[in-house]
Amino acid sequence: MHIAEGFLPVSHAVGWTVAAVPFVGYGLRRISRLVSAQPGAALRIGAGGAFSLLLTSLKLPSVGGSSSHPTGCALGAYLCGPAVMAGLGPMVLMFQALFLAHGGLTTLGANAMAMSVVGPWCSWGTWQGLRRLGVPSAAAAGLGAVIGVLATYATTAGQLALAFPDPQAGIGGAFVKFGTVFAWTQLPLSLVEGVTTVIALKTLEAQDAPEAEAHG
Amino acid sequence: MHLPHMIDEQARTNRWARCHPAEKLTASGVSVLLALTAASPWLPLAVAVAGLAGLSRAGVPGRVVRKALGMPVGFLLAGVAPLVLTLSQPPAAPWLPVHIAPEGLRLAAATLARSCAVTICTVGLALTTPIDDLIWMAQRLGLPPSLSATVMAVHRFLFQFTRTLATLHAAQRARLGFRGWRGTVRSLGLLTANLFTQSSQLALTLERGLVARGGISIGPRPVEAWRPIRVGTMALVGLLVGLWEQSR
Repeated sequence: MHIAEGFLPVSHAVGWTVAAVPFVGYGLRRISRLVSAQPGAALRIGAGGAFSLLLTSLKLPSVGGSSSHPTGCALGAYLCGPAVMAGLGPMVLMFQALFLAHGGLTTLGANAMAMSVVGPWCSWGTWQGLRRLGVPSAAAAGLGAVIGVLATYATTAGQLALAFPDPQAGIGGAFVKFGTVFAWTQLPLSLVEGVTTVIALKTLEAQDAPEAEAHG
Repeated sequence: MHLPHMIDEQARTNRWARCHPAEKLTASGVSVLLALTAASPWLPLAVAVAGLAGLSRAGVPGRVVRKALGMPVGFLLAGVAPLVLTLSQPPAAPWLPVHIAPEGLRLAAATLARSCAVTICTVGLALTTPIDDLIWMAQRLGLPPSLSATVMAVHRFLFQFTRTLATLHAAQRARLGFRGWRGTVRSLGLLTANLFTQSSQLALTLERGLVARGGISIGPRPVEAWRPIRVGTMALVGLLVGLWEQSR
């Protein structure tokens, strides 16, 4: 769900970058403090970033002959916390722009807002909220992942609608237009992301991975 | 060869690999700014042509450029389609909920030209500049060592994990994984978990090694002697700025 390089007008690209700065800055400060305290943590966080980057290269067949890929936003938020994801996400997005020509450096702020801030926080919030309500952990994790992907998709559709309002129907009409186009791939993808996140967490539990244990 | 490997190899072996990163960053950054703020669609076209000519001068093979640009340009073509349509009934066919608007066509063409030009600039930077040089520049501009170490770790693990991923994927396929939609989703979940476990274990092993060596953090490779900044690049940037002034 990346906005392509150069797609947004310059004012929107700058605006979204400014909007993402507080969240990304906080995440980067958390990472920086962690790495300053334990230099080896850079390796663990770097491994998490590379893992997230590789997940986006796993293609899945999707509706209409296109393909989709998991984002790992929910899994990352559950295992590292949403604040760290807000700092790690832009690093991953930068590498995606440079090494996969996916997304872009000029749209880094907008993509970071959608995929590193809104998506992980929505996934994590849903997961935590449902667990407090007594929903089983696997169902809460799966639903959190679905909500995270849908929130990312809605944010991107909103960003594009603000940048390119429909000449007749305005921003609302443009949101419907972009949302309808994305829904073909993003709705099935959100379900796939939910299922793969649950399978991944269950497998980590079965392997007695300390990360899965620590995060329930 | 995978795209990240191909781009990384070209970045280290092209004719401009030892040019100063500031030179390439300036040329690329100014070109991006000009394409983004151009009033006329011809300037992004000029930026795109200059970018492709630059890649050719740097000795980057055409097949690598085609492979790097193929996917983003395909996505761009699909991405501008909604800009062409407007949500209103055309007078000639009131049963249609959308129709093609002339202003939409102009907007789509301008967006496509701008996006293609900026994509060529970014891909051009990635294909001619090793990532270590970019991190070195970022450090000079104030990136803290703790964050540059994290960025370096992402970069190094990316190539390490690509091999792990390929091995795990091949092993799953050999055990009849990724067959049918349900099988694909299940295999993907298992692949995700196993990749996470293996990557965590590798990071932990390396972390222990790092601590055993006294906790010396990883950093970019030693800086080589760069060629001085060339007049030709600056002249090209000047020419593009002149065209931008003309177009306003």
